[in-house]
Amino acid sequence: MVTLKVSNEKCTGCRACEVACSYHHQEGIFNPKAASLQVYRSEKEGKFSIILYSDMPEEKRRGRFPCDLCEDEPQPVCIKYCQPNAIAIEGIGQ
Amino acid sequence: MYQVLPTKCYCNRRDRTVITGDIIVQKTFGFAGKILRVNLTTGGIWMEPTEQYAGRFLGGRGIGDWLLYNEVKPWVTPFDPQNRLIFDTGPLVGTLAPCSTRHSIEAKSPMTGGVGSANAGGHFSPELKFAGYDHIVIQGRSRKPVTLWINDGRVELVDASHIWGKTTWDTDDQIKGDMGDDAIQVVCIGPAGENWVRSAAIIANRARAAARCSLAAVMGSKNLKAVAVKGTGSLRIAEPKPFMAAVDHAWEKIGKSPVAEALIGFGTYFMTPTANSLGFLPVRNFQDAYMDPRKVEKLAPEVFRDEYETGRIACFSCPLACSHFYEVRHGPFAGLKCEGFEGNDAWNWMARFDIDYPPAVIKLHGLCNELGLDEDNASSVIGWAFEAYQRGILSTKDTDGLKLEWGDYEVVAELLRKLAYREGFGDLLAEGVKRASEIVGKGSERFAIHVKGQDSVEPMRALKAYTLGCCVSPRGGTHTRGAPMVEMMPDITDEFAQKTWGAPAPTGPFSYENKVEPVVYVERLHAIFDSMNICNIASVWGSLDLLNPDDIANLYSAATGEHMAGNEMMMIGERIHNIEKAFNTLHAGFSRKDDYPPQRFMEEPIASGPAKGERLAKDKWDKMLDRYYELHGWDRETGWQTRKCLEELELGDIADDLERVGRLPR
Repeated sequence: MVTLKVSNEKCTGCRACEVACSYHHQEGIFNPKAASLQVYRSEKEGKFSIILYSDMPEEKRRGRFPCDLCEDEPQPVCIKYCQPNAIAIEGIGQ
Repeated sequence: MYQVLPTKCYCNRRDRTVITGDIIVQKTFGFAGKILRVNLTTGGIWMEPTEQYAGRFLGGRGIGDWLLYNEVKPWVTPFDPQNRLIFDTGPLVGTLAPCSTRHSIEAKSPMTGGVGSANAGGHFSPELKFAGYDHIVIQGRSRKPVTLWINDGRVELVDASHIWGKTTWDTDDQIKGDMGDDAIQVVCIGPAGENWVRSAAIIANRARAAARCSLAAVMGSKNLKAVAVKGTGSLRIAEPKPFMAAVDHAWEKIGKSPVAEALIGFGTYFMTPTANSLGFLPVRNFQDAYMDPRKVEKLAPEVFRDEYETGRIACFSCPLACSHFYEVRHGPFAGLKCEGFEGNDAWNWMARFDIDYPPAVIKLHGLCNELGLDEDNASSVIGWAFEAYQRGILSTKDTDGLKLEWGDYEVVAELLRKLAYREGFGDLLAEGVKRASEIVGKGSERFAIHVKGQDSVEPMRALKAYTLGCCVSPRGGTHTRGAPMVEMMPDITDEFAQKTWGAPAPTGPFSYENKVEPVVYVERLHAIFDSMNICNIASVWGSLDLLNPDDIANLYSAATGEHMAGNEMMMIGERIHNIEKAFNTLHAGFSRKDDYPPQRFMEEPIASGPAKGERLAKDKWDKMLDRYYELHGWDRETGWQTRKCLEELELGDIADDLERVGRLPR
């Protein structure tokens, strides 16, 4: 099974992954609150964590799109726009 | 609590009408579509469409400047309730366009009485757009402290009595706690803004300061403690595929740029050693411009990275993440954790006060953020006090018993606190360096470094184009209008310079040759970037060809569906700059005489280092000013605008206003 793997210690909290993800699901529309993942920013500690909603049941996703690993793209867009490489693909498949 | 007032529909084309929140606006692309208006005196909240201003002034600072010009009359003083406080986003903010993250703020400046404008990054601006607003225009004065709470379409003024007096860090915590949501975005003022200190900054994300011009004091005068936003809406793009092509092009350009590596590594602080080698530091309040390299070595960018950095921290949609997070583990400041700083901190603390202890620089930076102080202005006025003490003009009798000796960072920290609370000697410092030096007198005006009344930390003397850009800046002596970095970019070729601003490349950092054209070019470029609210790191401060006007035009055209070329954008940039210039002429009466550098820089040469002997010669400065006015189409003798130049920019109304007060030369 192929899934996304996150390395929170590399994340800089820019949220480009959320922005790109929302655009992938609805071309022409940016809405990070609909993305399949979310960056939680702790500005007090300078630490960030990426929450993946892909494995969660629908009621916990609260209207967010389920992750489809960007099947029509060469690679998931969250990975493409993550400059510090905090998101990667894990597993075998396809 | 106040009720959201219904607003009338401005749109009559049914096919493009959508209902958003409480106002009916046309379906807009790129923009969120609405301007939120708040009258703190009456509690009235209403909205209007952004569209009526968009094409002519781009967005962001462009629209903000136009609203300020039209709504604040020359007889309104900065702390008058009729002064406006305008928060701007921009048409690309909230999208995947790189570095599209900033908010700009305008008001009549308490420093100069002219145009006040500041700008900060973080995550507030995109959140405001996702809530549905391109701008917030605030007027009036609340009877008690309030927070403006924007929860998508629901907007209300909530009591802030329980957070009045708190630092910006505690305010941020308290508001997020009160609203029960850690992910909301807050901009707020600290004690400095509440006390109308003329060195106050509006802080977002605990560390992103909209500084200079002391707009936080205007916010304090309105009894507005904070603006908190939660936005869950969408932004629409007019041409999705061309937009993503422009986005990818921009990301690639930034990612491949050589300057990206330095910014990712050290932020803008990376320039510190180069700055010293160019005589570009305000050493001991500008008594010199060059420091012993061994001292600079102690505060080298690598020292902060290796010993204090725990990670990097990015603004919204930014591939560079030029900000760094620091933790101090040992010594008197052990336990301090905060977001790090810009190149300015080398000026403000290391050079200005001759401090060579790295944790002290982190502490002073963090303290300014916490108290809601603009560290450039604060260091300027405290630096002046240190020099006055050194020269015996001030004594311990004046300074509440403090000995103001160079290098003593504990005294600097104590003065920051006194400044923010206007306590004792701090009350004098809170007036800014121009007013404070005029009160004290005794020749201290000579080393009060300001232009047009706006405190300066900018080392003007060695680099001539940079100095010109600072001195002619409409917001006073600051570097974020026309000051180009061309003298620190030795690889600029004649070919590039000719193509970009129509003159050969500048000849060496210290000369006066070919220095005016890049200033005018950068003034226009800044106006475009501030109107999009894309970070200047992606152009002026990084590399001039990083994102150029054509790249921005491509992004803007695809996002909004309103096609525009790079040179058309530059023309609007010139228009925006002219609005600020006219505001200054009308409100503050500034003219050619106000475009000269501080007296010290014309009389006192740099004492040591590679730029030793450099000072500004009046005759050469006059020639630069002549050329500068000529390029803008302004009058050489007075420095004022002409009807011809204003009409070419479709600003005939402004020409009429200037003519009425006799400030439109024939």
